[in-house]
Amino acid sequence: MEKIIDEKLLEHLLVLARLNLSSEKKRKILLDLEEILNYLKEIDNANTENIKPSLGASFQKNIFRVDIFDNKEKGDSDINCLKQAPELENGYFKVPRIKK
Amino acid sequence: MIKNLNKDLKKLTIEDFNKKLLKKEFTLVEIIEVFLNYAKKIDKELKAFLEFFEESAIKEAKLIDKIIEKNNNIIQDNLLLGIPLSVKDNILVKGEIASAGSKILKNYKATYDATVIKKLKKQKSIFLGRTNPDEFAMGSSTENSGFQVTKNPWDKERVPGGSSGGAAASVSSGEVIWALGSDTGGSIRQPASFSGVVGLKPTYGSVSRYGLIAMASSLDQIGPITKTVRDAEITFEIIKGMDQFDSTSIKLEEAEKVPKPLKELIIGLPKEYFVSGLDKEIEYSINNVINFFKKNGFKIKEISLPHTKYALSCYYIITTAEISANLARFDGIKYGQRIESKDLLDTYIKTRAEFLGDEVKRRIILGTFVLSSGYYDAYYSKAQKVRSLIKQDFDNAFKEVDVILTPTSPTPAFKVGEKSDDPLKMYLSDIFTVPVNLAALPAINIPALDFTKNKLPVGFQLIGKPFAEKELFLLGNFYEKQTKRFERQLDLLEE
Repeated sequence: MEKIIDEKLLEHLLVLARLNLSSEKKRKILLDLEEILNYLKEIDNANTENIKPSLGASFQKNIFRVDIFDNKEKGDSDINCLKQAPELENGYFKVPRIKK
Repeated sequence: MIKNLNKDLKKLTIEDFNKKLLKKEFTLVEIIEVFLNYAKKIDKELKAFLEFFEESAIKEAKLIDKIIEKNNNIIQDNLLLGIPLSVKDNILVKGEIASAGSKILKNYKATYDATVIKKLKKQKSIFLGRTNPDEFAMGSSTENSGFQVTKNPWDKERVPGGSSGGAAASVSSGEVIWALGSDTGGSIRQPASFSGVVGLKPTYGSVSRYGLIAMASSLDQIGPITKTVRDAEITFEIIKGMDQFDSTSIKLEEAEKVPKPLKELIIGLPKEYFVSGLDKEIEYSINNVINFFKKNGFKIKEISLPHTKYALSCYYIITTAEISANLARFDGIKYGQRIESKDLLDTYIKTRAEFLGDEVKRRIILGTFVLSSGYYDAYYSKAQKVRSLIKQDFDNAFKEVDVILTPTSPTPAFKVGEKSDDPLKMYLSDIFTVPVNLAALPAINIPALDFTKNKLPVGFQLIGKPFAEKELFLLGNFYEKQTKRFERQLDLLEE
């Protein structure tokens, strides 16, 4: 039987997901995904003709709130948030080079 | 003050604690020290906690003792005053580490309080520490934690359930009076059921998710794990409410309705939940619960939720899709750990490959797949439609009944290692809890009176209409009071 996710597709998904796996883990995950997807395929049997997709589960209609900045409810200072970055320069996040 | 630590601490409910504090049977510093010493001792084996907030807890206790000295009335007015609780590691407490059980956030310190934490600080509750979850709340046993495996207090060879396994174990063992957990597909109710405690998953939108590290945003909900239904009610009343920082939270004054009188509540039994595959001992125990309600004059009706068989598939497609998006932020740039590499892309990949666990990776890849071009319609879009059908099932059922009663889990707590190599088998342990999250409904796990032969807890689930938590409390409280299940469960410990 043809696999739903083969090695080539897995490589593509890994790039999209910004992940990597050892070759041993790749073998294992291909088996796991196949088993899981075969189970998930059960959903094909549900008759969804004329059914609208549910977008989330909220019981709420779209609402708007006044666009004002409440100083009292302000979060913490930027400095505190920045402190936990692995690398900073002059108060900015520093990242490795982007172009090769 | 407290003589038999093991039993006395397990016995202590919120109202008991409050009364004893009022009668000056202990000061807060004394009792918090007792809790901490007991918890630190038993947690060496139990491993429910990732960290105790010892210093801040005692400091806080001293402060509140001083306030009480000046004004004893403050105790009467505030049931949660001084109450020790634990916080699941995915809920932010300012200045404390919140790692969501993941190595990628091992040293991450919360820069603000989650709204639920803010509310509890206002009540002057005391946070004893953070509890072990499955990594990013993905799992049903805590075996997926990046740090440790929590044991079930009833049998140390078994798991406490998950993902709020540390939370459930911390309450069940008496380390704390109650715990904050989170539930995306059963992560409060299933561990509560495995560990013999009460766990409430509130209606989606009842409790603010601000400050909860997101797994699947359209399903996540924070809720309490407690010893009794009454405690679940007390704590829920405090943590619920609309919050401007969570746009999906709801104005409850408008949404909540007056509950029906207890004896008028009609209980529905969905036939799809009572089929083969249900453990015999669970079946026996749940049947006794049903008989209890029958004997007490409640109207019981068989109902059908015909799309139940698609719920787990629907759930895993929708959640993995949301997971793949939500976890993109953990990239080693703004916070968390980083592996340096030659360029930005490679830094992302190496960082995530190194610090995310196997189950998290599996779900991110699956989610990336169901959202990717060419597969979106067959999986994600289809699942969103099935989600509508599952909601419709419940809407229809609630035209006939008020509350739905089911087992919480198809089996009692399983052994450590029993399912950890087989992800699909692990997923199936949530089969009775996920439909509730898909339909955004409230549901509560309550320990049944009858345990298994091996003294493992069995839980039943009551599912309510949207915002009808009060009806769940009414029914649950009645069961608990009449059967004396809490007291009898404590007696089991002594046998």
